[in-house]
Amino acid sequence: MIGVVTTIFGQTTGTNSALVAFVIYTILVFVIAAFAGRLLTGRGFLGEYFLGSRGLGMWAFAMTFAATSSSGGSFMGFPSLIYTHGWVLAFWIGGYMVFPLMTMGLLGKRINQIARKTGAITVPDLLSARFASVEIGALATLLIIFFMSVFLIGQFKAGALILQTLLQDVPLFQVSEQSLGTWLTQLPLASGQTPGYLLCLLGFAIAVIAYTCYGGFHAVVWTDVMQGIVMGLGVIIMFFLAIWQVGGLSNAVTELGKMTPPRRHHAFLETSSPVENEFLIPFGTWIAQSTDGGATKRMFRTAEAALLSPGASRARATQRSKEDVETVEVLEITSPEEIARIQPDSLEIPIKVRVAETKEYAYGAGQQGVYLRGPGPHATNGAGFLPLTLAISFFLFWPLIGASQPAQFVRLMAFNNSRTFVRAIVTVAIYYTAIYIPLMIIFTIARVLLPGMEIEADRIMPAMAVHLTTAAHMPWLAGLVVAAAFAAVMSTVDSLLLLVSSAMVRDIYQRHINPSAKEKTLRWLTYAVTLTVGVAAVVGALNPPEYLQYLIIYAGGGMGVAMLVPMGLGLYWSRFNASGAVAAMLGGFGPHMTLYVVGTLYYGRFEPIKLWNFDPIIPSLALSLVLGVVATYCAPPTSAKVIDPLFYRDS
Amino acid sequence: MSQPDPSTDKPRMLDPVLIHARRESVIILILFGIHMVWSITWCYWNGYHLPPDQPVNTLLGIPTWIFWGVIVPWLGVDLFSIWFCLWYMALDPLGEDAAESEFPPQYNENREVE
Repeated sequence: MIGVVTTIFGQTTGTNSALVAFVIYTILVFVIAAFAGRLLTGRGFLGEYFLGSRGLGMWAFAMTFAATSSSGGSFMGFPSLIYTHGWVLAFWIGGYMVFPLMTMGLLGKRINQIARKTGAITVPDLLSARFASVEIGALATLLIIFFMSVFLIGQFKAGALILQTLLQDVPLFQVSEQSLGTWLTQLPLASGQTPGYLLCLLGFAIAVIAYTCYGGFHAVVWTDVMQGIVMGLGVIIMFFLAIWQVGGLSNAVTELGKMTPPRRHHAFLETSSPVENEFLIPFGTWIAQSTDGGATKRMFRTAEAALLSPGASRARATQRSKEDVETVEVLEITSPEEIARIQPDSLEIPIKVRVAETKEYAYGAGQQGVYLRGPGPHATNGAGFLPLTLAISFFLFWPLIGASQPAQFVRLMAFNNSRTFVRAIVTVAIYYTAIYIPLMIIFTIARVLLPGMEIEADRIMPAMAVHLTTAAHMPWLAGLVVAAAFAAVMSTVDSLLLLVSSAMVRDIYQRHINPSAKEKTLRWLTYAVTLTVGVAAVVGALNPPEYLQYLIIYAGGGMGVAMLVPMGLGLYWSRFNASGAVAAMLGGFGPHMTLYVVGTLYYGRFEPIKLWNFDPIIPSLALSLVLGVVATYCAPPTSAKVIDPLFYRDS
Repeated sequence: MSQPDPSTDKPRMLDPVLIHARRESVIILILFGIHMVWSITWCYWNGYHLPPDQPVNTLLGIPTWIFWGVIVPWLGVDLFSIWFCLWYMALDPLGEDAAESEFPPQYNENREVE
């Protein structure tokens, strides 16, 4: 009996650690939310719930800012891109070097000051007060609800996928997936998804909606602090383990320099004679094959599962709904050094790979060193991963769009004084350096340690965590490391949830429907709306749109181009008026939306038109600025009664 | 720094927080511009035009073009941020919080101001 138990635990220690880490993490989040909820008594409810009474200290402000900016993309998408395209990703993310100064230093002090002077607790509050225009506030509210809802659905989906990735090998989760998850698929609107995804979506949603709803801004901020610490610890642990296991960074870069991009094939997987019993070739199976009489060794990895039926000698793809299931997608490793390091899986029945169709990389095929130089390899784009104009776009994209996100404006309204502000900028700058540069190094090393992960590049982060900690004989540590990715997405979701609910309660209900609403009414309405927004986002994430990732990029960019000019000029230019603000908002939103709509119609998929290969934010921001300035001069200045308290000394 | 009040013709002094914040923002934008030009120029000329058969030079285990084009300016911005934030930026008093329970007076006067 003891032996059986030991065996079970011995086999599952690494995977169960993810579950244990998640459970501990969730308990801590609820404890923090419970403390935060107590602060809601005895203070002005809305100011406390949505803004923490403007009392954030240095660590809370810095960590909530950093954690909110780092979404699931930083810990899942970014590592996946590094793994796939190599060192050029350092150039792609290069704009982050000025991110803290641009996103905090550029507007922060004035946003906080004007928010204090006007008593604003939401972004539309602030804009309405600055331009003395309810219409500006209403327009900002609509834009926030529109863009952030799209963003929220995307982040819920990302949270569910990360959780699923973390837990998919945990026995308890597999049992729940079979029972509860299968029941969930029978619910209306949920028919198209797998039981595992639905179960994770539900678990993620319950956790994040509950603590956000109960604890408000303080719960979000304090959990962000914890999440930021978890993210930092996870990266630092992985960094040192990766360097150690690859034998030093110089060794890693030497090995990377020898690599050439893999080939993708559609291939027949065959046996020499028909099999008697059903035989499954799992997803990710390594198959070695010798050619030229054993002189050359080829190494393939299955990119989908395949099944040999009794009496058959050719496997069929199991999870494809297409009619063509005779061929199976496989990946072929092309560099001899990698092939020599890979240990093929030992299958009971020898399988032969016969290639039917080959897809070489459009850029970088057969080129050694392509992972070390620009523009980086790309499977379908002949210009490579990061052509020059795209590099310029991204260098502008990160700081400018980061500087114009309402969720960050809210944080800039919430710090307690200037000393906190300047110290927090330094803290975030050091924190980002300590996160993003090590991430680059870790996942270029991942190419050396874990070849063939192109078949599921989105899983490289948890896969690398498990690999590094297991090899270091500390599998329990994997849970902490993979929790970093979960923390990143959770810290973004809670902020967005609060942003959308504040827009509805404060900016729509209190301002336009019932300005004299009592605090008790606002309190219960806030809870109800936060809950409703969360549930609506879950419903949206049940069957997310096919191009959701692109929709998220669209939403972030669209929000940024609509907000940056009105907020920036509004804070620093007293002549800038409501007409200019409306023109700038619509001047950013309109062209951005148009380029996406026209692009979608033209290409037949959700993709924008890129003028001169620039991202749509560049022309949209330019037009927003021009229209904002022109419209300002076409209308009379804002009344001195409004402007003077915001731009001139009290005396 | 001072502009006449159109209604009284008395000089009005700009808010010191505005003056400081605007000056700091201009410096940040200039820094952004400099680093953008540095990074993009350096990386493009040194990382995009290497002949396929030429090995990529490395420094401390990092491709040289990334080291000088991204890592060094990144660390440079960090050092600048420490000096700029802790020694240069003004520690302005940001004022007391207006009451949140009701909207500020000018908030409801939008009809008459434009």
